[in-house]
Amino acid sequence: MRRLPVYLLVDTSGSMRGEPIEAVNNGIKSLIATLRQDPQALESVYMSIITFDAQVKAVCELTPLESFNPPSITTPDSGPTHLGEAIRIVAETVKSDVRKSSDTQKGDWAPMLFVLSDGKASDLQAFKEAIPLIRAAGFASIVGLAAGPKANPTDLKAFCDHVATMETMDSQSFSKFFQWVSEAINSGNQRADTKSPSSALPDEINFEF
Amino acid sequence: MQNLVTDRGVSISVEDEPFASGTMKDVYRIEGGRDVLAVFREPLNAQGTDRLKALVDTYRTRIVDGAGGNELSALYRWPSDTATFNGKSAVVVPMFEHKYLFAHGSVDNDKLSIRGKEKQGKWFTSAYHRNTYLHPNEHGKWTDALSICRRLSQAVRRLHAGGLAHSDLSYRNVLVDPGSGTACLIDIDGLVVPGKFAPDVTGTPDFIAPEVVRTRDLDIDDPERIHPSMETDRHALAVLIYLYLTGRHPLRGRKIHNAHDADVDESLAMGEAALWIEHPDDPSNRTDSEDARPAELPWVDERQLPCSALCGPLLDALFKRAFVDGLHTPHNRPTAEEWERALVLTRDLLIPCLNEECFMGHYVFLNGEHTHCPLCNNQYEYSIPVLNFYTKRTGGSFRPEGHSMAIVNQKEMYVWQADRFSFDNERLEDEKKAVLARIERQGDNWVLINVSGDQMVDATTSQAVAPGDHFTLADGAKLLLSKVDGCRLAYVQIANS
Repeated sequence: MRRLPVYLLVDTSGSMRGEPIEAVNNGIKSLIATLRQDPQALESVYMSIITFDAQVKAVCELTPLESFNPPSITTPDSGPTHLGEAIRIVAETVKSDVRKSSDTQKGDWAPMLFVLSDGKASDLQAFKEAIPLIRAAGFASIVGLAAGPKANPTDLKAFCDHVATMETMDSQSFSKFFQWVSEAINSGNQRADTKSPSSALPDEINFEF
Repeated sequence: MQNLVTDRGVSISVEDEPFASGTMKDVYRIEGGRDVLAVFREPLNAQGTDRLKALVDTYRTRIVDGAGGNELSALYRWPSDTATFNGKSAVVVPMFEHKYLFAHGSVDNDKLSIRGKEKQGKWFTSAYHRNTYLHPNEHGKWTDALSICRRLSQAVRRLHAGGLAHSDLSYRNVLVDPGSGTACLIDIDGLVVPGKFAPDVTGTPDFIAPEVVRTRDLDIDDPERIHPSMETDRHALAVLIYLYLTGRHPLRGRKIHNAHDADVDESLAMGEAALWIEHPDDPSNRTDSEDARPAELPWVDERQLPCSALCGPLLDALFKRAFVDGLHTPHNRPTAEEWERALVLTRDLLIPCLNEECFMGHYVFLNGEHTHCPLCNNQYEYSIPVLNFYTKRTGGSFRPEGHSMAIVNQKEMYVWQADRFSFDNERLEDEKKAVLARIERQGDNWVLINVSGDQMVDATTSQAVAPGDHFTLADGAKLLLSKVDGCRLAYVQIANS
């Protein structure tokens, strides 16, 4: 059975503290619950969550959806946004996680990456160096969400195929984003259906309330 | 709530927020609860609008309101009306019947939270899902899958007879209820009329016909590109039936077509290099049972449960045509009508599995081969009278029909089974649904009791067998069931004695 690996890369820098990170935690919970109700996703989706602030942490390694237990993500009081280091580590992780096809074994589907950030990269040099690595990591698609007024979509656009922006960081906005992530995963799961309207991701979504 | 008037002039009140969303439509409740409003997210082109109009008008009148409409209307969630909602095109469709929503859902107090959700077909086409997640009360029996497939074939046969292709048959567009053995086609607003309404989508992976997969990267207007049609529906239907009856996909075996790129490998495996896992002459795409999870065995291992042993001779012959002769030669594929016929006739071969715990419920008796359950190996302990049917051709000549009936105690035969021209579908007249005869075990003997057949004759002695008369089913006994056109004569064998 081919697996569909899905990575969530979540910004946990100090500015995410409070309502935003709670909204993300809730969003992930409902994302998992929604995906589990889809028999196709249940069969193939494997999920991993990686957080980044001054440190990059794999809070959940690649786990089948059925046994995935979403962690409660916490944030430090303050701290930089090491986006460059984060995407370098994601590129490395993918290399070791994703099963390659061989002449005797069916490999995994190309993985998907969702990146959620409310700031801009503070490790500029590392970020510059990591962009080609993540672009070459073999993702079927990389989707970024620039959340809140301080987010810098330009950083995300440097390595994402699609970037959505979100004006406010309340739970309603995040919940809409995660609902959309679940649709994107399900259409990725149906990838051979290239002509289905659902598989085309919008170039940009704007939420305004 | 928003009030609006449909194109047929009906006033309805629609909720402001959708309660469900599909790939192309959002679905809103309509006050009263009987119907819902499915609203297209994208504007429809002129063809799309015409198609909807034809569906709620011409085709609805012809199929759902036509002959046998009562039986047929339960097989489709057919749009009844069109409307405009917030400037977007919409159709009024019936709400799901309650039986198509999970009453129990998943195991461990419904850990997946699917109670109350639709019973999408996919849950029931994978042995792993059934055995790992679904609450035991949702499983049904294998024989329910047989009824579900019969209803699907009937639904597709009627569409095709009416000149319509479905174009996106898949377990996503089918709701099933194992408890009642019923199925319902949903999302039928993409129906294709050859030369008039072209298909919108190529279909759903797992079900797209090889010729469509092979040519799908060509430009949409390229004459070489092959679009969904009745022939591709026939492939999708065969895949669906195989999935429901065997719990495995017919083309997903161990063969690797491209070791470097999963998407290319997938396109080859479902397209130009597609190969049946049970191909009689080419074993290179058998399944890998070492790779299988315990919860899906033995279903995914076609060597343990070959479809010939599981589904019986009539269906096995059709699977061979669908996945060997017809896989890459679309005109060789069995039609929906052939599937329907084989599925209905296969019921005549069922004997009960005496192990009440067994998922099979009943299984297909393979005359001359074995009399144990293919799944749990439980041995059937009674003798089995087999009525081999012969039909009248010219003069007094009766030719074998290649069809027979396995008899269990208290089995009833119906009037329609006395001739080969009658068939149990929506057009069957009520009088032919009456009981023709009942068969009982009396001590060591098997006896057929004529209930309503006034033309029954013992073909050995030429004695009439009148209603109320008993006829002993002994090895070699011959009974003429009726004298109408295409009438059947049963030649009796006693098996498993």
